Order: sequence, then C-alpha cells, then structure tokens
Amino acid sequence: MKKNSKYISIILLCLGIVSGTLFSACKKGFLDEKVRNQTPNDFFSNPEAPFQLVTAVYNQLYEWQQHSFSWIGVTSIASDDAEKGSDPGDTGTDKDQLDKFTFGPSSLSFNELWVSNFTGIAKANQALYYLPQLANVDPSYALEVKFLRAYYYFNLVRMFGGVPKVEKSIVTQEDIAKANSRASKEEIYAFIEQDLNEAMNGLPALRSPDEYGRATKGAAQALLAKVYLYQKKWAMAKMMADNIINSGQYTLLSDYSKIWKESGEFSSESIWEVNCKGSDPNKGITGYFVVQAPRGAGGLGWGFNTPSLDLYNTYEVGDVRRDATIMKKGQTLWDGYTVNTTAPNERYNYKSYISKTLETFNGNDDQTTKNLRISRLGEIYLIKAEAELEIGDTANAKAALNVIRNRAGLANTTAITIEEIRDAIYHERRVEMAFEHDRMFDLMRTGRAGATLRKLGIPFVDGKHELFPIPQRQIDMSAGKLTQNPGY
Amino acid sequence: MTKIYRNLFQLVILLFMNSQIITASNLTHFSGEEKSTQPFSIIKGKITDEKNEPIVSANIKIKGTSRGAITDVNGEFSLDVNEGDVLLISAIGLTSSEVLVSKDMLTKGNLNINLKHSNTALDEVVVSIGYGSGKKSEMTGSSAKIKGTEIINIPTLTATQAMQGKAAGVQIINSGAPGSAPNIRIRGTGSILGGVDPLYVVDGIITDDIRNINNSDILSMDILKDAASTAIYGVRGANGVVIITTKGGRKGKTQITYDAYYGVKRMVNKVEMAKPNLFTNYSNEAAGTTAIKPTDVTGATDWMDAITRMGSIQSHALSVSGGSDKSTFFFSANYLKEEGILKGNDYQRVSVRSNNDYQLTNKLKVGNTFSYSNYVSNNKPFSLFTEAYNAAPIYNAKNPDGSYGSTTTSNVGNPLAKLELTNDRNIGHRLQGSVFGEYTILKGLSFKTSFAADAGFNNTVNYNPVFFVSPDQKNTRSSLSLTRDNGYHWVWDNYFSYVIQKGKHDLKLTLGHTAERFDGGWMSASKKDIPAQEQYWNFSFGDPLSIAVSSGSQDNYGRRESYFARGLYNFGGKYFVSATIRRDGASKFPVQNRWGNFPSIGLGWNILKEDFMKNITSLSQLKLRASYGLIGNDNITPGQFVTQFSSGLNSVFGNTIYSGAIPNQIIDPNLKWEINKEFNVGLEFGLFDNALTGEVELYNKKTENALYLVSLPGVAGDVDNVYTTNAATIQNKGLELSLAHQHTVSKDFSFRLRGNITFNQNTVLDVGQGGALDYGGLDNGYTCTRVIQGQPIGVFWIYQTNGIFQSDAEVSAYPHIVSAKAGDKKIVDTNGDGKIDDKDRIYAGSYQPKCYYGMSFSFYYKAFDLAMDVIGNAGNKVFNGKKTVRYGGNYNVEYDVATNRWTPNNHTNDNPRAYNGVPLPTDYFLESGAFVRINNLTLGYTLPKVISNKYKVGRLRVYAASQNLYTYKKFTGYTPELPGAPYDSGIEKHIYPTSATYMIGVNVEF
Repeated sequence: MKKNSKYISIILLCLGIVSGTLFSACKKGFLDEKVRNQTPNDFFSNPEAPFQLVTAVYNQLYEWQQHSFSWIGVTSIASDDAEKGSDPGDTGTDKDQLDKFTFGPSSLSFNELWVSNFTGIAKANQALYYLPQLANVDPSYALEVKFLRAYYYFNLVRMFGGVPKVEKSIVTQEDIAKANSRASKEEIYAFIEQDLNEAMNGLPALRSPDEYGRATKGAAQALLAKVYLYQKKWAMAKMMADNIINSGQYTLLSDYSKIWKESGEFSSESIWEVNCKGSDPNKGITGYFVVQAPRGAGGLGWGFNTPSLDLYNTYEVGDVRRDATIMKKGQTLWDGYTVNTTAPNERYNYKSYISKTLETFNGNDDQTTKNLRISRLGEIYLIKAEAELEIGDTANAKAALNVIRNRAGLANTTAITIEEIRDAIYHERRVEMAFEHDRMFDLMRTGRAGATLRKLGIPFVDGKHELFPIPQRQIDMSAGKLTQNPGY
Repeated sequence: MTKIYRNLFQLVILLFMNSQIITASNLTHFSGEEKSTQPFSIIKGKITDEKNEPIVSANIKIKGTSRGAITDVNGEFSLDVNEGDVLLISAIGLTSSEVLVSKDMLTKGNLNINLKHSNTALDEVVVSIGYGSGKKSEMTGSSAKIKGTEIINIPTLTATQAMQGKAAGVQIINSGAPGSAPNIRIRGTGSILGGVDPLYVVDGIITDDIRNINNSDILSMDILKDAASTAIYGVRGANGVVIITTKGGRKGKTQITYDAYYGVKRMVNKVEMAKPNLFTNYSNEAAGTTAIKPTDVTGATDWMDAITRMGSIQSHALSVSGGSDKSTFFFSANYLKEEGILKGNDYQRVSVRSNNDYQLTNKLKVGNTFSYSNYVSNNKPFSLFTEAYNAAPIYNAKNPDGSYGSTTTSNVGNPLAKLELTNDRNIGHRLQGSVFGEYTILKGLSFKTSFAADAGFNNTVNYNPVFFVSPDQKNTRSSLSLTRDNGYHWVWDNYFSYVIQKGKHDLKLTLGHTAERFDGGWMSASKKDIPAQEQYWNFSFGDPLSIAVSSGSQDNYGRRESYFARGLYNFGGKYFVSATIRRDGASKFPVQNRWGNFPSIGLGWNILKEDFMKNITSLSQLKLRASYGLIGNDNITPGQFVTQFSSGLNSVFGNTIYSGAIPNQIIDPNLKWEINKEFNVGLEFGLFDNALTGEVELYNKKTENALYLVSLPGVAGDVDNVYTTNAATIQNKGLELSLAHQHTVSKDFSFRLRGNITFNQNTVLDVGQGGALDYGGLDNGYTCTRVIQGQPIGVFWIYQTNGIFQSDAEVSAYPHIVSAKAGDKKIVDTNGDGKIDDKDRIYAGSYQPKCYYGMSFSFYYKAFDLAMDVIGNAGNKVFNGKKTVRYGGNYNVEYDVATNRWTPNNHTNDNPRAYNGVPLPTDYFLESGAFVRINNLTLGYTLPKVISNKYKVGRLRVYAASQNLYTYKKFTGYTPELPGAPYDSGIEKHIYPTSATYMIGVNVEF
C-alpha cells in the first residue's frame, strides 16, 4: 500500500512535468484547431466548385430583397398600374410612401434593392475571381456570371442612374472605400453592354430542359435589346430584337393567360425565367406569391400590389389580357378557387397567383413554384415596334405591334401618326406587361411619368422623380462620397 | 516582446517544476524513513463551545498540509498527527483556534478543545478563489458566498435560480419555463455580441450549463465579481465566475439525509382578454363593416385557460456520507420533476453523484467527483402563450364530437390543437467528473493535479402528425425528425501551492498550468409519412425518397492552454496585497492574437488593527480594499476571422436544386477577445460586536474591444451588410451595498435580517466606426430596441405619444402618419420637421434596471423557523410586444383595451380607437418593469430532539413554503422578468409566464 502510494506520488509529479513540457513543446500543435467551415483551400479541391460558384450568383435572384416586396413596390406599386393594397393602415414598411410618392432617401425599399443588387454583383465578382483559379472550368460559366452581373446593374441604373462601378471582388475595408462612389450612368451602361456582348457571343443558344433557368444567348440578346431601348439606341435595339425574332427559336403562346401559369413555364415564348420549384425540397422567390395573394379571412396572403382601377379600365374591350392579369373580389378563378367576398381590396394580381390545387404546391407559401418571367418574346416585339418607329419605319412598327394585339384578341391598331403610334406602343407595353416589373421604369424612361401620375393625384415632381433616391444609409456610410440624386 | 515574455514564463515554470521533482523525490524518501523512527499516531478529540455543547462540522486541519478532519454530530473527530503539528480548528460562528500537538497529547490520545462563540463571522468564511481557497478576511477582491443550506429548500431546477436576490451585484432573470436556465448578469451586461453569462466552475470543471447539478449536492457557491478575483480565469473571467463546490463526506458517523418537497404551480398575472361579444364589437368597429357576423360566433373560449393547467414540482434528494481517517465518501441521488403550467410541458431529471477522498499517506491525497444526470423534457412551443393571447374567442377549442374547433374569421390557428399536436421531446444524459491527486512535497508546499471531464449526449424527437383542423391549419404528410448531439470537454489542471509563514509575514503562492479541449457534433435526419404510433417513430418506416440528413460541429469547439500564478500576502493580518496573472492561449483566434495576459492586483487594509483604532469599541470590523485588473471575454463563435465559403446559396435548374457556395462575408482577419478593465473599491464593516455587518463596493468596469457589427455599404456585397470586429467600448459602473443584522434575543428567539442593493449604470461609450444597431423585432415589421453610443445596450428606441387625436381636425393640424384618424395615438413630431418618421423616435429607457435588491428575513422561535425573501428591481422598462401584433382584425384584444377604447363618445387619452392595422412601436406599449416580489416564504418546524431521537432520527424538519407568493408590479403583461439577448431583452413576446408555487417539504437527517 505504502509503496503504491509512493508510485502514485511519482506518477503525479511526472504528470506535472508532462503537462508542463508537453504543452509548451508542442504548443503550436495543441492550439492549432482547424476552422470547420469551408475555406478557399478546402473549396478548391471540390470538383463541383466551379458550378457552385455560378449557382451562388444565380441564387441572389431568389432573395426576398431582390425580387419580392421591395421590387414589387418600386416597379409596380409606385406606378399607375397598382395601389399599395392590403389594409389601409398596413404600410408594408414604406409601400404607402411608394404608392403616394411620399418616399424619401430613408425609405427602406430602395436600400434593400441597392444592397441586394450589389450583393449579386459582389457574388459575380467573387465568382470571376475564383473561376480562373480552378481547373477544368467550362469557359461559358464566366459568361453566365457576367450576364447576371449585367442584369443586377441594369436594375440599379434604372432605379438610381449612375451608381458605383464595382468590377473586382471586394475583400478589405480599403476596397470598399475605393469602390463606394458613383460612376456616371453612361459608364454603367457601357459596362452592362460589355458584359452582355461577351455573354451573347459565348453562351449557348439552347439549353436542355434539365438546364432551364440558366442564361442563354437569347437571354443576353433580350436583355441587351432592352438596355439599348433604355438608351434610345434605336438601331441597336431593333437589330437585337430582330436577331431574337429571326432566330426562329421563340414563338408567341397563343393563349396569353397561360404565360404566367405553371403550364407556361419555359414555354416557346419564354426567353429567361427565374426557375422556381414548388415540390420538396422547394426553392422559390421568397414571399413573391404570399405578398400579393388575396388578403382577408379565408385569403391566401397579404394582398399587396393590387391592380388599380385605372389599369382595369385601360384595357380595350375584348382584350383577353385584362382577365388574365386582374382577379376580382368574389371571382372564381381558373382552378375553382373563389376570392373571398370580404377581402379588403377590390382586385388582386392574377399573374402572381398560384393554384394550391392544380399547380405544384407543397404547403410552403413562402417558396412557391411561381417562376419570375424576366424576358419573353412578347416584349421583344414591342421593343422592335418602338425602335422601328423611332428609326422612322412606321409600317414595321405597326406590324410588330399588331402581332401582339392580335394575340390578345384585338384587331390591328388604328393609329396613324407617329404620335398616335408611339402612344399605342406605350399603351400596348402597359397592358401586355402589367405586373411584370416594367411599368414604373417605362414611365420614367419615356418622360411620361409626371403627366401620367399627376393625373391620378400623385405629387410627381419633374426633375426629381425620374430617378429614385440614393438610399440615405448608403450615403451615410460612404463618408459623403456618394452624392444624392437631384431634388432629394 | 510577447514571445520573450512567454518563453520566460515557461522557463520559470519548468525550472520550478524540475527543481521540485528533485526535492520532492528526496522528501518522499525521507518521509518513509521518518515513519519508521517516529510513527504518527491517531488522536481522538472533541470540540465543544463555552456551554460544552458539541460543535458539529468543525474543521480540523493540520497546518501546512491538506490533511484534516471534520467533527461529527457529537463534535468528535479523529486524525493522524505527529508531534509538533499545529492543528487549526475552525467552525462557523466560533473563534478559530490553533493547538500544538504535544507529546503529552499523543500519549493520552485524547484532546478536548473549547471554542468561543464569535460574532466576527466574516473572519471564518472560507471562500473558493479558483485553484485554491482562502479566508474571506484575507481577500482584496469582491466576491459573495452562498451556502448550500440557503438554496436547498427552494424549488428550482438550478442553484442559480435559487440565489435570486441573495448577493449584491448578481442579477438573476428567471423564466417560468420548466427546464430553462436563467439569465445571470454579474455587475451589468458587459458585451453586446459576446457571451454575457458568467463562467461556472463546478469542482474545477468549467461549464456554462449547471442544469445537471442537484441543488442538494451543493455545499457552497462563490461568486467572484471583480477583476482581481476573476483574473485567475483570465480570458473567461469577464462576466464573473460562479464557483460551485459540491459536498464531500466527513469523518465520523455515516450520515443519511433525505430532503423532499412537493408543490403545485399556479399561473399568476393572467391577462384578461375580450369575450366574444366585446371582441366582435371591437373588430367590426375597427373594420368599419360586419366582418365578424353573429353566425361566426360558434362558441366562447378562454384560450389561456384552454392551454394552461395547474403545474407541479417535486424533488426527492437522498444522500449518504461519511468517512474514516483514510477516506471520506458522499453518495447522493435526486429525482426532480416539474410540470409546467403549459399543458403537456414537463421536465424531469434523475441525478446521482459520488464524491470520494482518500488520504493514501500523510502526504498524498487522491479523490474523485462523479455525477451522472439524465433528463427528459417534453416541450411545447412558448409561442402558444402569444397565440392564446391572439386567438379569436368565438369558437370552441374542441367540438362536442372531439374534433378541434376552427373559424374562418381568424388566421391564428387553434392554439389547443397546436399544443396537442406538437410532439417534441429531448432526452439527454450528462456525465461529469474529475479525479485529482494532491501531494504535500514539503511543509507548506503541495502539488495538485486534476483531470476533469464533462460529456453530454442528447436525443431530440420531433413528430408532426397528419391532421386537419382547418384549411389554414393542417398537415397532409407526417414527418419525423430525430437529432443526436454530443459534446465533450476536458480540462487538466496542474498547480503548486506554497504557504510560508514567518513572524507577521504570511505568503501564499499558487503557480500552475491548465489545458482543455472541447468538441462535439450533431446529426439530424428527417423523413416523411411515418405512422402516428410512437413505437414506429424510427426510420424503418416512411417514404424513403423524403429522407433528409444534416450534420455539423458544435458551435463552441476548440482548445485552450493557460498558465497562471497568484500571490496572496499579508502582514500581521493588517495589510494585504494580492496579485494574479494568467496567460491564456485560445485556438479560436488568429495565430497573431492567440495569446494574452490578464494581470490583476489588489490591496487591503484592516484598519481596525491599527493602534489608533484601539479605543473605538463600537466597531468590530473595518477593512478597506481596492483592486484593479484585466480580464477577457472570448465567448464568441470560432473561426470568424477566416474567409469562408458560405454554402446553401442554391438555385434551381431544370427540376433540380443545385447547391451554391461563395464567400459572401467580409471578415476581420485580426479578431481579438474583448477586454475588461475593472476597478473595485470596497469597505467591510462590523458594528456592535458584529451585530450589524455590511459591505459597500464601488466598481467601474470598462469593456474594450467589444465585438460589434460594423455596417458595411451595399457595394461590399456582404450577405448581412455587417462585419464583426472589435469596435465598441461598454461601461458598467455601480454601487453595491449589503447589510446583515443578527440578534439573539433569548435562548428561544433569534432573528437575522439581510439585505443587498445594487445600482448599475450601463452605457455604450463608443462603437468605433459602427453605427446604431437595430434589434427587438416585433414580428410586425418594426423593431423597438437599439445599440447606440451614449445609451445602455438594447435601449428602447420608440415613438413618443402625447394622448390621442380627439378629432380629425386635430389630426390634420398636426404631423401624422398617412393612416392617422381621430382616436389614434398622437405621435409626437419630436424633431419638428413636420413629418412622422424614424427620426422622431426617442430613447425611452432600458430593460436594465437602475437598481435591483434582495432582502431576507429569518426568525427562529423555539422549534419554529420563518423565512421570507423579497426581491425586486426598479428603474427599468419593458415593452409589451405581444400587444403590437394584430393583423387583419381577427386577433383578440385585451379586455381593458377594448372596453376603455377611444370612441367618438368616449374621449379618452389612454387606449386608441378600435384598430386592425399594425401600430407603430410607441411608448403606449412601454411600461414600467419595476417589481417587488415575495420570492419565498417558508415556515418550518423542527421536531424536538427527544422525540426525533426516539425514532432514531437525528433531525426532522417539516415546512410549508411558497415561491413567488405575491408580486407587486405595474406591468400589465404576464411577467416583467423577460430574459433575452443583451440587445433585445425586456420584450414580452412568446414568453412563458411565471407561476407561484405552494409546497410542503421535509428535511430528515439520520
């Protein structure tokens, strides 16, 4: 016993030495615990790495901040197409301000959209930084990324005019400080065109069904056509539109009401969509459906972005697009669902509706199957019409316009003078693309926003409201380097 | 520089260790020889007081060794001693004594020692100080001690819940939920994003969760508050340290104790809601139409009644302890079961413990602590309390046919259905233990090594059945989710203790090294279409295509290595100096910031021992002390300084989801721990032979390098637009005052009164380049708290109101929000810019109280004892968050709000008009968080010894008690005690209401 204790004592003291020396001798080893998250080194060894980078850049398209409440507010609620909707007291953070043009630099939606589009751009820049460092990368991956970067920039330039031009990935505080001042609108458009031209020349024209949702040559061309249209580069816009139309790859759907249904996903008319999946495991644009779905007892959602009476009344008699775009309180919809008669709003957006019974729906209201149609052939005809008109070819302009009118169940246009045709094209864009996130920008781009909105009692100020305000938060964080748009 | 320092430090330690090996081995040799010539002998003794009453639990220790004994119920002890040994004899409430062992004593083998009663109780208090212990009177830092006996009869899961109000500077915020741990803030909230809970050290095991510890097993808790006390724990001392010492055995007769109680728990502070008629009127008035028709009213349900019940709590604790000269043992077992007031919500725990010490030789002692606990927790979502608050009262919870009721006018689901259809259970096991050896190398010098480990294993079962309550409340496919997680932690301490006493010089040194590691992981899987019967809740069933698996690491993994040294010096018990330093290395920081030093120094002056104080007889104690130190807080998520690829950034192509990953976080590659710099000054005093004792403490604690989220501009493309960096400075400064008065009126009657109060002021001094951070989301699109320079952390940031707009004319005459009408709260345009926006928000106070206090009163009359604890706080605000969410007119409304609402005929300024929209976060929802509560009231009766002895029972006490008997508060919600994160506490939202407990209990000793 005594002897054992002695051994134990010795063992104890040895332990003391061991702990003292062992840890100090190999201390670096002992504390060298690896970080468990994926770091660049781990990532590079992954064969899926290149496509994961590209996927992450697409991922921004599904974000709530990117394509949901704020985007709906800025592109639609602010315009003459829609009212805020919901209950009168429910502001939707700042949607009341967007609706009534009482917004300012501190309104949240602008900041969300600024941040989200720049996040998309940052992801694109990160991908473009890492892709060349990886082996066996499909060269078209970088072009997809550039296409997406152009899309995010196009959103920004349409809302705010000139914005910071960020071409490289940002890592340090110095990078941020350097990046955070405005380039001119022209520089941004030039950057967009450069990305889209590269993308257009290298992306595949066709995608197999299991690649649906990824950028194509046509998607780049369609976006470029619109980018030219916004810059009034009519000849270029016409050429791009013609390229698409003449490719023979796309044809209009005969049934307009099918375009926004699940059965119309990636149809012959579709050029680019954000691909959403409503079955397990699902992935959709967060909140896109539920924000706009009919409100109230027995309703489906929050009931924002409700079609205005002005929009409802603007459709010509016999235009099939009205009832494909607008649903009414108490109406029984195509799938048998009846909008409750006690709903707080008279009309709701039909294009954002999904049928919980006849379309794919797994119970998740937040992430639904509804694809966001960003480019489709219908708009390309209208771009062509407008470009032809401005070049001076009224016949071609009318011909393109009539393609769209005829599909909607309407006779050829009766417009004769250039002014009449221009009005007809603008009208046609409104009714054809209502709730497709285009109207507010159309009003701003054509210089018609002031007259149109003031007629509806909206205090639109010329020289100010043609652009939205740079978010105050961003100005504050730039140490004054970001300048505000005029009038704010 | 640091490297040189580090090497020097290591060198000193190694030299120290190696030199001791030589000495030690020689000594071991010597001691063996010594024994052969001069065997030490067993001495038996008895300790008594002036009246010759035996003293139980007196402590006998051989000076300069770790050996000793404790007296049994008869005041007797036995001990191996050598001639010339000095016995230190101490017992609580008695004057300590030193006895030299003479040859005479050894031959007689018997020793009777008489101790005098003393009121200098403080002198005797031995406090755990981390890697050792010492007398409270020798300490220069700030700490508080709570004895196990003070908490044993309080019906709580953890000891920390029971210590509410018992120590100055320690704020405990309890939740009413079974199985939950409270928020504990020692001297304010010292971090925004880092951990703010104190460090627990249970018998040397460092942990952050003490829910496995049976309260009856606790001998004492020492709460180290200031930097001088906690610096020995270095980078983890910033939020204070709670040292828990569990019981050990005592030499002498085997003791058996049984402590049990049973009580019922009742919900207090129910909020009265509108009944169907009032609800319908209110909602229809708000809607302006008959949104709820008479035919919609199909029943009348008080949802809070429907989901709650009378809860209960019971505990049975049995312990057996004892020992011989060579060994002591302590075994215990405990069963605790708590049924919450929420139906189906309960928690039960079984724990066993075994603590043993073996004196192998007179120089070597080894021992172990071991505990196992097992818990089963049946959970129901706390959000049910909010849903019961919101649910329309106009339909039956259950229909006569047994089906769940529903209504088409409400989008709040049937809360009872949700409750009954939730199957969520945690089952866990935890093993915690340590082995140690302590070797006396030579007189005064000893070495201790201790290896402790803590391992936890948890299983979670969550089953969601197929059900249909209404089209909005249904589940068409059942699903089962099973989660397994485990974690382990070990720590290995090695240290030397050295005691030198020469004349009036008294020096104690501690020098050591410690290393630890913690790790663990989890795995979770789910599958659909699993049958409803519980025996089929495994993955042999169900749709194989629906299986989903995920796994991960524990959040807090890593390793630490530290060196520490401490010196405690005093001169004649008059002047005290203490100094500690700890050098910590932690794997969770970047290599260049991995190591840090945390020094502290303290000074003490026992003024009463000065000659000039001799004539002041009314003073029985007077000590002034001051300390300063640096401590750290490394309680942050590891790996934040490395560029990482965020995964889960998925997209859909074709009909397949592809996983995406990319770096989307800007990181600070130079991240460090937070540093606290704390200054403390304290005065301890005793008056009239210590009939009145007290302590006053002033502290100023500054947290520098506090983690903060610095906003990033959009162009950075950071996923959350912020990056974590060391940017903020936070200050907590305050005053603590404790007073105690004890008085023995007669042989039959004595009483003791104690009280403490703490004033703390919390301020965010600086946030570097960071701006304000908004928190306190209300689930309605608005936030209500902020972190901003110049305000307390998590200050309420809300709109100010000034009555109610009495007419539409009044509305148009004053800035207002678009939807404002007569009858709405008049929101003040505080900045006078003619519009109501965020800039009009004001800082309206904080959830952090300006002061909190506790009082306890104990009366002893013959065989009766009566105790009452009162706690409270003042000067804080709480936000009635549940009241702010009322979507679309079908949420219920409080009775008072509905009956006293503004109408064109009732021009009140209190409650606005009937309104179905989302209100702005205004001061209408902000209420006083002050409360005073009778936290505990106990009446006990101890059976006279003559009777109990007849039944071979040493002591038998029965008692009746109530926990949370009565609360005086202004708050109209369920409870003003609202735990949460530092930046959004004090918001009543999904809160588990507190309950009152009425119980009976028994303490038996054999």
